[in-house]
Amino acid sequence: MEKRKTIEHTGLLVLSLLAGEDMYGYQMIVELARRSDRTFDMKEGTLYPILHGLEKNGVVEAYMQEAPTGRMRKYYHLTKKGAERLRAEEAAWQAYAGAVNAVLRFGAGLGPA
Amino acid sequence: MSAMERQEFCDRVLAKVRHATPKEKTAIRAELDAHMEDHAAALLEAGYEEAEAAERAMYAMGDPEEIGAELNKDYPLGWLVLSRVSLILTVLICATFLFSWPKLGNTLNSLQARIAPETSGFASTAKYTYERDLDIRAEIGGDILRIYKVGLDVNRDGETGNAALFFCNYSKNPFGYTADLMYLECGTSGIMESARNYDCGWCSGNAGAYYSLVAKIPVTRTDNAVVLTDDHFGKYVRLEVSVPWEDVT
Repeated sequence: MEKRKTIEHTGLLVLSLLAGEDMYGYQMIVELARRSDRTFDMKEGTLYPILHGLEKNGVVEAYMQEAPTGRMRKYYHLTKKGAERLRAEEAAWQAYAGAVNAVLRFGAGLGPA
Repeated sequence: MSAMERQEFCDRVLAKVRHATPKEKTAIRAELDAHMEDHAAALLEAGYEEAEAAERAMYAMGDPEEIGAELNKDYPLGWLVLSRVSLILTVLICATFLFSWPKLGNTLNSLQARIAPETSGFASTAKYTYERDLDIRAEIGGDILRIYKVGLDVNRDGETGNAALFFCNYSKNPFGYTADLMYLECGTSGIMESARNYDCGWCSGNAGAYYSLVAKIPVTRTDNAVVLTDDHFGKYVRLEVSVPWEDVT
C-alpha cells in the first residue's frame, strides 16, 4: 500500500495499542508497523497531534519515565474513559466493516452473506 | 542528525503552534526530539551510517509545518486565555486572603504572647531599676491572663517606690479572639482600683493578644506584693506578684 501522510482511524489504532501496555511515541510507530505487516506505515510526526488530542480529551494520560539512555520519555496510558471509547469505536468499526464486506460480496456475485 | 538539525525541525513545528505555553512548547520539543533520537539509534543498530540514520529519521517524521499545524489544533487560544486568567485569579485570591485575613495577624500575636511576651513593645521600652521576669498565668474563661514581668523604681528615701506590672491576655485557642483588659483591678494592702486609674498603657495589637503595662503603683517596704484581679466571663482571678524589694541594694 502506498505510504500516506495520515491514515484513517489512527486514534482507534493508538487506543488499541495502549490497551495492551503503556507506550511512548516511537514505540507505537514501530508496533503499529509490525502488527500490520507495514500496511500502516505513517509519517511518524503526525502521530503526535493525535496523541495530544487524545490526551486533551482524557482518553489517554501521560507520564514521564527515564529511558535506558537516561533521557526522559513520555509514556501514554489508556484511561478508563479511553477503554470505554475503544470498546465503542471497535463496535462501530466492526459494524462498518461488516456492512462493507456484505456489499462487496454481493457485488462480486457471491450472493447474500 | 545533529542536535542542531533536530532543533531546527522542532523550531519549524513549534512556529505553527501559536497558543501553547512555554512549558508546553518545551514538552513538545522534548518529545519530538526524543522520537527522532530513538529512530536514528534504531537505524544505527541496523547498520546505517550516522549521517544517513539521522537524515532518514528526520524524513520519516514528515513535514514539520504540517505537524505543527495539526498540533496547533490541540492548543487552542481559549485554553491559553483560561489558564492565564485562572492563574491571575488564584494569585489575587491568595494575596487578598493573606493580606486581609485578620486571623493571621491575630494568631501571630497570640503565639508571641505564649512564647515570648517580653518581646512586646512595652517590655522593650519601659525600663525599671529593678526587674524580674515572671511567668504567672491564670485562666479566665477561654482566655489566659499572663504576668511576665515586674518592675520597681525606688524613691530616694529607700522605703517607698513605684511598681509596674507587665501582663498580657490571649485566647487558649491560637486562632481565637480574646477580650481586652478592661476588667482588671490592681493595688496593694487591700486597696484595689481599676488598673486604668494607674499610669496604664494599653497595647491592643489585635484580638489575638492584648498587652498592658500598669505602672506607678505606689508601694512601700511593707508591701510585699502587688495584687492583680480580673473579673469577667463569670470568673474571678486574683494574682499576687512579689515586689522585688530584696533586690534593692
